[in-house]
Amino acid sequence: MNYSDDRTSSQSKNSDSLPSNIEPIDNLLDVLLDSELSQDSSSIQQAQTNITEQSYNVLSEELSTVSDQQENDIKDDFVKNSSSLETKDNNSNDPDIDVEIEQQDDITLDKAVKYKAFLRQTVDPQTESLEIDKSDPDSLNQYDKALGIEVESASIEELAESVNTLIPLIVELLKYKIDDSQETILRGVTPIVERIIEQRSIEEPQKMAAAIAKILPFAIAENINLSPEEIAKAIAPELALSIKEQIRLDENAISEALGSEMGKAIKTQIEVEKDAMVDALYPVIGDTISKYMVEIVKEINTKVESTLSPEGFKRKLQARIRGVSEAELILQESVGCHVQAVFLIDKDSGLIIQEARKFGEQELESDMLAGMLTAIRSFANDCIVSGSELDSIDYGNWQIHLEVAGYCYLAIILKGEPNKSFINRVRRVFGDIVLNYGNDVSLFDGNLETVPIEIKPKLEQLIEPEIKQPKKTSSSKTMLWLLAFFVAIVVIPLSLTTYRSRIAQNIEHTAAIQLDAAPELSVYRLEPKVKKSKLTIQGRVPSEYLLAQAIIICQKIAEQNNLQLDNQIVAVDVPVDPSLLTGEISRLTHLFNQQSGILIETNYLARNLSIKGFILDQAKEQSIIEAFSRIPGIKHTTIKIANRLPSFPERIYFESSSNKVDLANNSSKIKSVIEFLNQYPTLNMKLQAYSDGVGSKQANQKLGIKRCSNLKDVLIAKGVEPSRLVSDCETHRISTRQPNQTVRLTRYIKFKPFISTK
Amino acid sequence: MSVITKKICLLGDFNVGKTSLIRRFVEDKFSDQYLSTVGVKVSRKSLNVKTDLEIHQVNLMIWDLEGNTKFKPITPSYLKGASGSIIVADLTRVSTLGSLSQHIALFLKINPKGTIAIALNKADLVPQEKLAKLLENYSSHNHPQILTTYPTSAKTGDNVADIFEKLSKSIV
Repeated sequence: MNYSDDRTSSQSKNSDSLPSNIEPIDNLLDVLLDSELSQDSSSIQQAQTNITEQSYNVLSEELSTVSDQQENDIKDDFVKNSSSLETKDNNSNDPDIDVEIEQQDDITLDKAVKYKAFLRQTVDPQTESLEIDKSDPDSLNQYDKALGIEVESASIEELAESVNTLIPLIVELLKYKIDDSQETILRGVTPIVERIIEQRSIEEPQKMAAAIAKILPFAIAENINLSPEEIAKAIAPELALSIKEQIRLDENAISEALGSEMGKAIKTQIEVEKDAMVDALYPVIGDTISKYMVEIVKEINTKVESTLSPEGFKRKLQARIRGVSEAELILQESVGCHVQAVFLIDKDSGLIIQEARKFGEQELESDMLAGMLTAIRSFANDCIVSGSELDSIDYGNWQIHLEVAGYCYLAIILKGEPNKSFINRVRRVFGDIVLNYGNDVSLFDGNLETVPIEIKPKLEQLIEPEIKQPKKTSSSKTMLWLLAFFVAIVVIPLSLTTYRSRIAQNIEHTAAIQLDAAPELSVYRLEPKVKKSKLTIQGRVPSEYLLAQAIIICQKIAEQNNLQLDNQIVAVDVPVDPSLLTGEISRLTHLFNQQSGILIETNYLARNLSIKGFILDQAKEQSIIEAFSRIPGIKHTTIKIANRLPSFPERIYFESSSNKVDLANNSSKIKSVIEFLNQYPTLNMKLQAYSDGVGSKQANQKLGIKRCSNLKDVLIAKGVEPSRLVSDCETHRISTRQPNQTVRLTRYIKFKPFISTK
Repeated sequence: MSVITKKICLLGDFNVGKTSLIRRFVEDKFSDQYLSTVGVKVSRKSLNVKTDLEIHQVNLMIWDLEGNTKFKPITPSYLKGASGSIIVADLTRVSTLGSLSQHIALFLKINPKGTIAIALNKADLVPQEKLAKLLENYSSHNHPQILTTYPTSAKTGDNVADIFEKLSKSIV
């Protein structure tokens, strides 16, 4: 399709003559434009018709083929045609119109085709049937003149007709001119075309639409090919609207159409311009991150709230031990650290000696990764000659942790921040591997069969968090033990003491009840207390007797419960109501004195009781003293008790047969009788008369009674109470005479003291 | 069938076609565009290599090193641990052929037991008669560890797979 090679010379010629070519065309265009204003010009019309018809005939053939044939054919025709036209042009005096077809653009041809299609519809059939002089060589001349001079005189109708007939020629001219002065032609033609199209589309929109419709898709396709940007510009403003409209019509259609491509589009965009995507997504990502952070903060909150839990204590302890802040630990716990894969890599070659990866994780290109990692390591080591090692590569939330030994290194791909204990564990495992299998590793030549199989499980240890779990549980176990220990320390003794105290309470209760049950003790407050296998009783009783009673009761309880009795009851002297006390004493005294042979006198003074008197029956004496000592309030008892009554030896002697009391000789004796009675006021005197036996018994009896009453009278006269003197003289008593005794001494009255029965 | 992984390096001056050879071998693709390799790029290709005893699956880890220029020598540490090397020269540039011996020496210094194959690349750009002469001149490296010398073309794929396979076989 390249014809340019052969026609380079003519092309250059054309370009030289370009300015002169423009003029007539311009004139013609002016005519067309001012057609409405122009007036009568029949001659011109004639001339124009001639010319037009002439050229029309020539062109019609080619143009008719245009629509049927392909581009190549069209151009071939043009070439043929061009030569004939050339000759005509040469004959005329027109400025040089060199017809040529060279490298015709697709678009130019297209325009031509389109234009022709358009013309076919617009040209009036009448014009086509006009009689035309085919052989007028001057027609072009005439046309030229007409254009220059008489255009304005033509009437509108005529002009229109002539224009119609001229159109095919114009088309051809335009076609030829396009390459030389595209710009000018365009400038000239555009307004007409616009107007024509406007006019036609108003008059017969249907036909216009039909005409354009056929070629529209091709035109658009072609233009998209040629200048996509222009099309884009043209469509752009409407695109949004049309999409909006479509969404309004069918809500899902657009999203369905775009959906499948969206992912790809985003992917491509990321590949092409990552930064722009980052910028675009940044706000969203920010939200995502903040959402994530909120979750983390929640987690942290719960951790902080659980400060008092065992974990909290453990964490506090850890923070202290490791010298890091508790917050850091909490964050570490919250964010966590997940190992995705562990690689044991040959340090020099970067070949993987052994690897372990988390089950279910997406496959890593481990070989490539190891190779690149090794390259990065080498690079870092070469660039930074400090003898230090690359120990981790961070990318976002991920980290490659590196542990380097002599011939190999360990790369751990993990998410989150590894904590110190994990790193320690890694070092331990790696140290173990290097120590035990270092030799095998150093001899590694790429054959995986030579690698000791024991290495893999060791690496897997690092991946599985379950390894960490037992550690945790063991620590919680220690916590459990600690708890148990606490329980042992606190709860067991507590419950024991409670149990004991309950038992003790029971014992105390029984003791109290039993002490209460004893009537003589019930009034006293006695407190039994059980402490350390001892039953202690505290309290006060007013007497040793009550104390003993209490002890007996408590002893019994203590023995039942295997307790020792600690008696702390004190027998105290409680001042007893003295009136009650003396009443009791006097009652007892009176009671005892009722008995025969007992004559006692009691005197209570300053808690001392003195008992004096006569108790003739010795056996009774003891019980009487006991009875008194039982009376509470008596501290000491002084006893002055005689078991025999005092005797009175004095006798009153009488003259023979005389019943008169010889007062002169017996005054001292009578005096001593009175004194005796005064000394023992409780005792009375019995008077017993004795005779010498001389005379009759009757006389002596009579005499004895007389003597008794005389003496009695004497004593009464001397002031002795008569009731205290009892005569016991009726009985005839004869005193037995002792040798060397005078008779006189056998006649007498004897005094005998006795306890009167009241 | 045992699985053996081996590291091999491609050495040579810049723009001799190291990356293209690898690309042809690994992906069976070729592009005229010149993209300079920065640092190193690692590729992998699995081959089945048949020895006298058995068939091995060889995973070749192919290290594509940045070509050396006047200003930047090859980083020796990238060569460490390589079992073999393909040293590449450009048949259309005599200077690259001249520096072959330098690359051989460097590789053998770091890997005394390594095996070398020499690829004289861009053979498609050299007329047949000239090629024969060039081969004659530059195939005469009489070193026991130099396996072979091939004229290769990453563009047409001539001898590319052959040279890799031959090297693989000798290092297994």
